[in-house]
Amino acid sequence: MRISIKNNIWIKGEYCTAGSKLLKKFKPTSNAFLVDQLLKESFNLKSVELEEFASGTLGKNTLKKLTHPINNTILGGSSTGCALSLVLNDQEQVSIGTDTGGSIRVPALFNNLIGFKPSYGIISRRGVIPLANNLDCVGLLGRKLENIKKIFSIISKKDKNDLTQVNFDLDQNLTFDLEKVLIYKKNNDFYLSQEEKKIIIKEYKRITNSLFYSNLLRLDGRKFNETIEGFKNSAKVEQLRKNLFLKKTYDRFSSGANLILENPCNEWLCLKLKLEKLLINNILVIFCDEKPKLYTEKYTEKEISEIDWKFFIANLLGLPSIIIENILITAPKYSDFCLLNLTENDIDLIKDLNKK
Amino acid sequence: MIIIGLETHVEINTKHKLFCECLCSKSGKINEFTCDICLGFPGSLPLLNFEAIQKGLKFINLIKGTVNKQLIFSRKHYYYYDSPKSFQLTQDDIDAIGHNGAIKLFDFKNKVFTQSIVKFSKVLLEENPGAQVGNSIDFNRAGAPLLEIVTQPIFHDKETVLLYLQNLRFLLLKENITSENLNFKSDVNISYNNGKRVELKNLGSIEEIGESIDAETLRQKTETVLDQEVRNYDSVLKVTTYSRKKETHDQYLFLREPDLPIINLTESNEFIIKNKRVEDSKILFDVYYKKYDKNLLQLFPIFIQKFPDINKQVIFSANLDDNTRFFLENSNSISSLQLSIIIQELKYRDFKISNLQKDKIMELIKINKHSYLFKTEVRNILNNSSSKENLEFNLENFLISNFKKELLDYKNTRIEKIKNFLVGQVKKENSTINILQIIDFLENYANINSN
Repeated sequence: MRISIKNNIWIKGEYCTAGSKLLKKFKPTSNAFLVDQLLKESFNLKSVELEEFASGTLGKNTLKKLTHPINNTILGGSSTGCALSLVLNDQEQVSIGTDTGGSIRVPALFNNLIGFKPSYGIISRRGVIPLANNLDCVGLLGRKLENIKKIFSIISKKDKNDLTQVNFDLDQNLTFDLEKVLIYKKNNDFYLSQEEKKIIIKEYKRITNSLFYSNLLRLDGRKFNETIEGFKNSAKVEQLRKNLFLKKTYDRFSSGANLILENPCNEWLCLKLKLEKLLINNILVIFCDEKPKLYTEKYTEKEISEIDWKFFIANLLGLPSIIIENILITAPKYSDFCLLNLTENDIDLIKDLNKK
Repeated sequence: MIIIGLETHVEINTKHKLFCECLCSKSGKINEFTCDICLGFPGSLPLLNFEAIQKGLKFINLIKGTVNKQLIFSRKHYYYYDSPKSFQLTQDDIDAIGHNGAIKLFDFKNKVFTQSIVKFSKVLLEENPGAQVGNSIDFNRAGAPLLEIVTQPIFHDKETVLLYLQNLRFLLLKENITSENLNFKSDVNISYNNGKRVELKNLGSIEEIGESIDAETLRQKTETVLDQEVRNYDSVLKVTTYSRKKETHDQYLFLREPDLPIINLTESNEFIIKNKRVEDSKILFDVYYKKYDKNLLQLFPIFIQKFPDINKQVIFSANLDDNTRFFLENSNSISSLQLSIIIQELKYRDFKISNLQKDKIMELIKINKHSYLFKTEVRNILNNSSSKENLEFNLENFLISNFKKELLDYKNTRIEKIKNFLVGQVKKENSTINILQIIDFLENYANINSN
């Protein structure tokens, strides 16, 4: 098994740039917790490039051009970047990255791979450069579920230095329960209106952009023992960020400041209750039939909202979620192993259920 | 007339910094005691130093303040070159670790207590920024724990201010919350004849504070202050100089720290604090995620429909306990303003309120008083955790009918063990009664009957 690590996760002695010029010289002094666990099991780790700050879906960063390995016109659909090419070329490859709004699962959907995002608070986030701290999860992308399960068991150990990690162990013997499956269809109770999908996207933007602003504010271009001249002027630092960030990153960053003081809207709070009630004991299955688009073609707002909301639900509620054979399955909180213990038979049964 | 309020920042003498395990040390090379966390490297996660939190609680105990039910830290965003993260981890006003409390000032010269009482508005924990050394920044200090002690604007003269500062420093040193070599800085808020408030920043020594108050009062007597502003004191020229316009609360963009869980300061703090047992009893901090009561959660949407004009933040910051639940469930006749007042008043109380109190508040709601009056009356009802006559009646009946022998024994012998036994029995019968009130009652009873 070969493992790649997204370049926003600390590996001691290697540059951890998160695809940004401002972090070009950032060398962490220790390993991320999950990297330590993998090194203990003597895996070789390869660090791979990503979208700037893991924010966006264009596969762009300010340091290096990222291209799709097979057909460089196909949109990867997420920030995962080069990790995708490794998995596409290698049966035994597992890529470890972050999933804040589908960064692991969207490329898995477009390239027929397996992408797994665990429940929030299972894998330690120490040493993972945050985008939105309370949505970020470390996720796994690969081609074999057994490999993903093995790596997940290694990296989900308890870290006493991450206070947001849960302090209990997951039930490893949980199996997939077909009786709990709720298929997303038009005549279902769960079916969401266009308006409700927009609310999900709006809330996701509110949380991520405000935290994105707060997290990136510390990047002012200095190492910490430099002289203070030049850093006294906040306008100059702002200009530096404007010059060194990609435009889309800067736009996202600056829009966040206005969102910090905003509260979640009433509609979202009601919708959240509805979703939590439905997903407290049910497994949500969504059959995805989106086809990847070319770089030159732009998604309309309607199309984006059609794709994004499905993935955002798991992040906003902290639920485990997996893409397998183009089916998006989201399980109740902390029942991660019910997804990792999926068998081929289970998937066939789900497909049968859909046809009925 | 001048009105002065003080905001004092005291360095707490803990071994480690507030959010990491680096040593708090004044000696050492530049940036010797730093790590990923206190340098704010992206990807680092804050930890919590319980020693600092305990010392904060100890101070609130000393001033007999109210401890907040939950420990919450927030990011306060501002750009300054000594701040490694471009925000400071501190507490928002409403989340401050303690509120209220007061001390009586002691006159060190004449060795008597004076008549002046200083009332506090809040006490909060926060981290120190770095320090400028020559032309670079020393981050050894960054992340060291600070206690911010804010008084109400109650001072009218320089002498009381200086006496208060002497008292405060003495108290903090005596209780081993701070040390001689640690910083003790104050910001002074002054307004003259109800004018706009001026904040004098970073005054170190007590002499400097006295001089600056004189200088600023003199200035405000001749110049009108047009806007809230921050000024510095020039100790050579003995004048205050303009620094900047005062930021508003909203400009700091307070954001709850997402990498720290909300911590429940459990075990009835009230009991521990009142009995001054902070040191002896280990406060159990149980780390948990704010789990919403599902039934209560279902009330919220109905609630928002019913009160469209209510401030959402008030609702979502409510204590989701039985007290609040009662008012949410019986919210038919309540106006949204009354409800938000009740929720806010219940926020800092972790004891169960009695049925009598609930009835009294429900009665108040019907009368529909002016909002200010309503607030004070609700507060009065909640502060008398059980009405005195009612308590004596209950206690007397209960004790005489069940423990007559023990009661007489206590009256005659005053043995502590019997008292504790009786307190325990009453507490078993009615857990809402305050222990101090039971003790009061027992002592009264013993005195009255022996005379």
